[in-house]
Amino acid sequence: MPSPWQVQCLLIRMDSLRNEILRVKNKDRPYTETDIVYDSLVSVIESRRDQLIKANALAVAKGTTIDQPLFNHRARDLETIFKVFSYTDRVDSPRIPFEILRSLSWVANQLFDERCYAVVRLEPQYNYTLLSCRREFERHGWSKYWRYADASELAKTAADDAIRAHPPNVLLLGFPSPDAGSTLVHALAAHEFGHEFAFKWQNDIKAVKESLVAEITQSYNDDLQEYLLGLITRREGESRDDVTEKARKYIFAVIDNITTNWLREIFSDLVAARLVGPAFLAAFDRIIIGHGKAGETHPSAALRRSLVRRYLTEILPDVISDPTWTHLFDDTFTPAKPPDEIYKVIEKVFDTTIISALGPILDRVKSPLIRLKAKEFAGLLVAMEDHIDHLATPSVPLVLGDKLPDAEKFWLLMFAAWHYRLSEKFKTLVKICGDNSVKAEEVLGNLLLHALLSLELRARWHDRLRGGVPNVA
Amino acid sequence: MSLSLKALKWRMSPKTPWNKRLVVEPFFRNSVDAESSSNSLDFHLGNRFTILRSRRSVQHDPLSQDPKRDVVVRELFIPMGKDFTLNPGQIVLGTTLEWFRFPNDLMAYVIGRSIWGRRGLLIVTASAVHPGSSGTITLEMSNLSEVGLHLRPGAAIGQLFFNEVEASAEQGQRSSPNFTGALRPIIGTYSLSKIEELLLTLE
Repeated sequence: MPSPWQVQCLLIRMDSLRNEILRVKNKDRPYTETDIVYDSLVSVIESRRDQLIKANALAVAKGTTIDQPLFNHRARDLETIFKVFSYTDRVDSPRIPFEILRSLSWVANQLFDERCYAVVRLEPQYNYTLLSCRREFERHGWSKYWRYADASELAKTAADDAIRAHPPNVLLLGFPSPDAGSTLVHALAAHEFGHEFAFKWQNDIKAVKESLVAEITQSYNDDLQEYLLGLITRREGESRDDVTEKARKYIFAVIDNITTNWLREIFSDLVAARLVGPAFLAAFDRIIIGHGKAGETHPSAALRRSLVRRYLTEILPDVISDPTWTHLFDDTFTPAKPPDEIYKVIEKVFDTTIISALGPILDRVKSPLIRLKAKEFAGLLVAMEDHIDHLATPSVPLVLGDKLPDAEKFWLLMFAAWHYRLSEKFKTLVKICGDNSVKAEEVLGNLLLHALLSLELRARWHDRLRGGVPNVA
Repeated sequence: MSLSLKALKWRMSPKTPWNKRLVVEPFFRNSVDAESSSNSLDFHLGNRFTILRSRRSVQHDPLSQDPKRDVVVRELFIPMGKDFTLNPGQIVLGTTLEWFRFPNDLMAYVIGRSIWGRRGLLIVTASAVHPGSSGTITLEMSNLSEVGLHLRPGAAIGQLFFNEVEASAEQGQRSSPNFTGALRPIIGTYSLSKIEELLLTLE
């Protein structure tokens, strides 16, 4: 049983965290999109605090203290709240290129057909991640607390009752702090958005997973049993049948876990390939530098590269035949140690079946690269690169209100910027920048960032006027 | 003689060859109002600001090769729809919302709009934009009035008057690589010319 002092300590920690969240909320920040997360976390703390105070008062009246399980539960809750708060803390660093946030939100709204805000947080690791804050609340059973604290304040700023009824989601993009200023690496948002799709269509993905697990366990059962029997020690009194059964269950659990994780990653890779084409791999190489996190959670970079190439050959044959991208598919990286037998078996099945299995689900993701005819796309790419070559923002040739939805042009710009970066033309920019390739990449990033900002502003302006306001005189 | 609106429109047309072409992005048609009698192009205030504050001493040596030694630079991003208060006597670096790409035979002068000037806002000190330069234009904004001024990104804060000059051979030749393709307002480092090096060491 917790002592009265321990109960007091827990209450003080709750108050302290609540005050800290409010302090961060009241800080001067460019965008206040994370307010909903802070407000909701405060609501969760207050509800837990009230429950604890009531339980404690009841226990004191009975001359005892509160139950240990209740105390432990509330203490765990507090740690989870702190963890969620730590994700949304530090989203206001001036090093973040805030210009991209509205564009990312705009693209996410269009992709997922729901109101959401994108927020960037600088991460200490070399990792690009995405966290859906509302889903995090659902995962912890706090869905009913996902709301703004002051609805009247909301009415003033949003002027939209629908937002009050269905508060927006917050997508938190974790970005590697050493690359804070790099706009080009944001092409990886396509992969992270793929994870959101994987969640949205989780039932379809689960069906694919089950068929894959069945195929792996059936086709390679003998090989795997032999491999795992070698790993499992037979205890005294255990029959060979018991051990075989244990191994069978173990195999199934391991395969199920690896398949689930890999499927999510590969699905997201293929979504990214649909949205930005091979540019995804260029940005991916910046983060993983060759090997990736191959193992239980992620497939090897070689498998990912090979699947992306095959998928692109299927959906965008004209893009993939462009020699600018060729070297992205060369994978000569040798891992420090050879992969386990089990990974090799799963890789074989993924390699042969995954693209056809995921194809119909992937077709639901709208892609500007696929929507445009090859000739139109090639013409647009030449025009965008021509602008970059002359230090003009590549958004200029993108006409608003044409057959391509404006938000999808975000991916076209990302594609063009990476294509330019990998092509021979980049040398011209390096020369302009005093033979400094780092400076040249910064300028390319600035052109891209300004193009994204301009495109989004022009689209909003266009929507407001309901008429064409071309960007040329 | 500054360029006429008709000439400016031709310069901005996608059919104009690159050696003559001016690019402004985002471009809002109202910035070049056909009815306007002025030969200027309005530009708008951007979202990025850099505030300069003293650090160790109350004096600052602009010729110092390390500008941050004496001055603390604080960067601010003000989203559209929000504002920033420029206090009396304060100087802040801002940018234009527009990205400009100048051909090598065109330069411009940055001029404040009288509606702002009459309220004490000075938007620029180094007013010439060189031929061949590219990027957002850095504004050195100062409040000369006795009251704080609210600055909102998107406000038409100044205008450009364009002049043709004799073209140089290559794009970017006349602009400094340090400021090429700049997006954020930067204080920059003073680079001494050979003449300055000589003059400054004379006793």
